[in-house]
Amino acid sequence: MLYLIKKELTANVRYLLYGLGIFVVYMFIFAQTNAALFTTCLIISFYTVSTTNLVLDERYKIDLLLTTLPVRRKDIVFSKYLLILVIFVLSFLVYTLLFVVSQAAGYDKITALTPFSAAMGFLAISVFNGITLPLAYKFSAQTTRFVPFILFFSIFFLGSFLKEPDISGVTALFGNLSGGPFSLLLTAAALLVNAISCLITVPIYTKKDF
Amino acid sequence: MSHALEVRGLKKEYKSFCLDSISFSLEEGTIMGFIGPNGAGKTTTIKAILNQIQRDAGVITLWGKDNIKDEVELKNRIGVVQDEGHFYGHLTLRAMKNMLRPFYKNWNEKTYGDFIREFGLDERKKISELSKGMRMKYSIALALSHEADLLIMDEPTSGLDPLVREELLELLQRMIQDEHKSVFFSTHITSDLDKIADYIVFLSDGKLVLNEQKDELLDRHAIVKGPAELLSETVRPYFVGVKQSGYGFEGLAGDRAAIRRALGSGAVFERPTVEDIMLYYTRKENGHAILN
Repeated sequence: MLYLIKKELTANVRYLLYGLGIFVVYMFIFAQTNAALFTTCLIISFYTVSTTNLVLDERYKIDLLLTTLPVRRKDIVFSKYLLILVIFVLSFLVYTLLFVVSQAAGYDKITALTPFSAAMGFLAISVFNGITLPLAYKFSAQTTRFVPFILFFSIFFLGSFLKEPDISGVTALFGNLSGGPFSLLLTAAALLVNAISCLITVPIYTKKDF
Repeated sequence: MSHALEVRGLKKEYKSFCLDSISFSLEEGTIMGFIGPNGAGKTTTIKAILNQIQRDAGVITLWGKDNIKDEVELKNRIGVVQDEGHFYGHLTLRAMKNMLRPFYKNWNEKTYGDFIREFGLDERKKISELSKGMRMKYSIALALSHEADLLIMDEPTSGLDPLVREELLELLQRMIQDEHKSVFFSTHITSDLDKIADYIVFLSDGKLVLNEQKDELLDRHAIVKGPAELLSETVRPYFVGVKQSGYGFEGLAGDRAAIRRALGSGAVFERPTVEDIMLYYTRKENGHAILN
């Protein structure tokens, strides 16, 4: 499994860096607004990396190579889902680093990363990935290329409107949960989305003819 | 001798094509030529062996183990060369190799390095910069660097120049000096098989047409040439196919001894090549046994 994740990182290193670059640029652009900064930037960079990843695999027919290797097909699928975590952690680290640097430089437009923002970002990319992956494996990334596009703009604009102060209103729906537990709830929802999506994708991929 | 590969009753149905109950086996320490015209089902069979497609029926075993149940263990022992190398074009040869190497338990970096030098490959180059032939060489180097016991090759020589093809064939012959190593070699360049194959499996339109030792196959058949008047209705059934012209006929007979007895000294009998056999049988399968 580790080798499959390494494979994803090696194949996508250029695009990961590109995605993180976009992440940084958009951090400064959206820092001027009151949007959920981390969530917004994460969605943008994840959209770039994940769609490129699927398109590259399809262009080079990488599944035909992977299925000759001594790995189980379901592990190939799992590695795609674990890539979300890798991108999330990298984005988290970049954001935190930039926050610390910007604070030290006296630039206060970049806000501290809250558990809500982090959880919301994780949920957003999980929903994005959770919908696009099974469809791409079932019908090909080329055929379903409009799906990530639609999802990107839907989630992106939703993310842009989710401003930090709004949580109190949302949390009220969940019995006045404080920010921490609510963030945990969002994280649990994200994991659930990934698990359900993975349960759908594994049989699609394992029964697929290449 | 034990079998490296055994395929029994393999069936796979597509909308416009059906692989129809294919059975054959490959002994350890031998090279099997897997031949047939385009669309005969060669790649489909290879994909079924590699579990890249779901078969509708049949059993495939490698060294006596099921190719699906023991997939991970078995694929550690298989080297695969596909008709197109499916690699990330934007990566260098070294980066791609580093990506693949950890998957194999028995990766041998020295062997890989030797092949890279022997094939004149530059590891700093991007894969997209390689010609088809160089890409095929790279694919072969990767397939041979993890001490594979079975090499499965799908049209490996199609993009190679004659010199490199010759080198590859020598390499395969060297490889099977180790009696535990075997080669399953799908190709339509049948002259390669004349040189190295021990067995021939011939598919046409999804059906198994021939499956026997190459030398027996070539000894049993005969290319017969003679004047047109020799080609009577009584001798025609001996032929797999016949080509006729104003000067006479040329045909492939399936039983050399029988056709010799039937025609006597009036005709010329020659040993066929694998290509002759493939062409005549393909025409027969397509309903064109007799050509004017």
